[in-house]
Amino acid sequence: MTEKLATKRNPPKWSLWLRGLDEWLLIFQKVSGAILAIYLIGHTLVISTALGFGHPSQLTWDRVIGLIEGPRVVGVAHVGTIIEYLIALLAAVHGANGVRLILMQYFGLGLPKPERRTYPMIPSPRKSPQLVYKYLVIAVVIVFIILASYVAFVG
Amino acid sequence: MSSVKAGLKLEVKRGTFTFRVKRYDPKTGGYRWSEYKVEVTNRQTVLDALLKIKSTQDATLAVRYSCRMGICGSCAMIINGVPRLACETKPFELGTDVITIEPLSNFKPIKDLVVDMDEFFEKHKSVKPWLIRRDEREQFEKLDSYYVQTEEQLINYLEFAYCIKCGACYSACPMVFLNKNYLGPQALAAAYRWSADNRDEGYVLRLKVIDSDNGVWSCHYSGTCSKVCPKGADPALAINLLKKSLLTGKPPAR
Repeated sequence: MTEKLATKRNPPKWSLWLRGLDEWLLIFQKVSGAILAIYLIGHTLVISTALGFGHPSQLTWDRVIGLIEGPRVVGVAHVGTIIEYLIALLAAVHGANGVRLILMQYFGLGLPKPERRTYPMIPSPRKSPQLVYKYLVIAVVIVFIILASYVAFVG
Repeated sequence: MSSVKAGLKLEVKRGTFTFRVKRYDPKTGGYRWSEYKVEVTNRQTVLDALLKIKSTQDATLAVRYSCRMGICGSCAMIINGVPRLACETKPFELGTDVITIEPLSNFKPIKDLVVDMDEFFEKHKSVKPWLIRRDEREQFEKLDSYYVQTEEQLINYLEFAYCIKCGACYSACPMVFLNKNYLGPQALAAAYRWSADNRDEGYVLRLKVIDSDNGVWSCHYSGTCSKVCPKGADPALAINLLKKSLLTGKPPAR
């Protein structure tokens, strides 16, 4: 048997990407973005149907929205409320992290100036300004979860 | 001198570690795991252990190395799940009895732990990582003046110049895994290193490669490249500074 060069690359180490805050924010950003894009299509279709595609009437609105909202589950929350609640959480993660990325990449928020370094070298994603902004994103999301839970389930 | 020596602790610890090595077989085109038990001291590195395996247990084990002191960047491999230099990692400092060693991911394997770096170096070359001057005659023929550089101007790019092209960042990057044509953290850091050099005038020429889908815009900032860099070169910072210059339209500070 002759030896031949491999055409496929070595498989990645998935565990390497599941242990850092940056990596998790990246995963959340991508997954929430995809789900939100799909949701947007569904949302537009539902609202358009409920509005009778340009011929709005109270009857179609009530019927379509009633069907989508579904039965009551907990307190004032319908099935539709829970879906909206989860979508709002994804939007909170996507928005808060997105604002952080835009501010960092456009305005250089938290990017240190290159400097003469000595060992042990700590990479910029692990140093204080950037770390603070990442924790801020998490804090914003937690505050949002509390507020959203109140609105959705308590009233 | 003698007092300094007296203060040093010269305690040598010995321990036996199991090395699980993932090996690529070019004849079958598949991978297999080999296990070796080796006794090492707390002064020895993973590379020393691999060379010991090679000389005493299994001569067919293929490893690439050159300087053994973290300068050449030949011996990068995935040790316990993280891309590191085998010559800078000590088995005693890893904290596990079983040490897993794998070839670098995102690279094509050649044999065992040796990977094909051609694509990586091609991408590095594509960003023109050399000094570009407008006047080539003055640069190569009429050498009658020096290109002056101050300490502050040096520091603008110095940390990115520490790169030894070992491929650890390229192997760790999730975006290189998702987009095969993405230049990778190393090439983009090299592009920033030369663009931020005050002697260089080639930033505009590099833009075509950097400012593309396979350039900085494939980076979604997972920061893994900077975390695994054995030289602390921080490629993620270089890529973000490049994005900032592209978005604001200002060339890198120099």
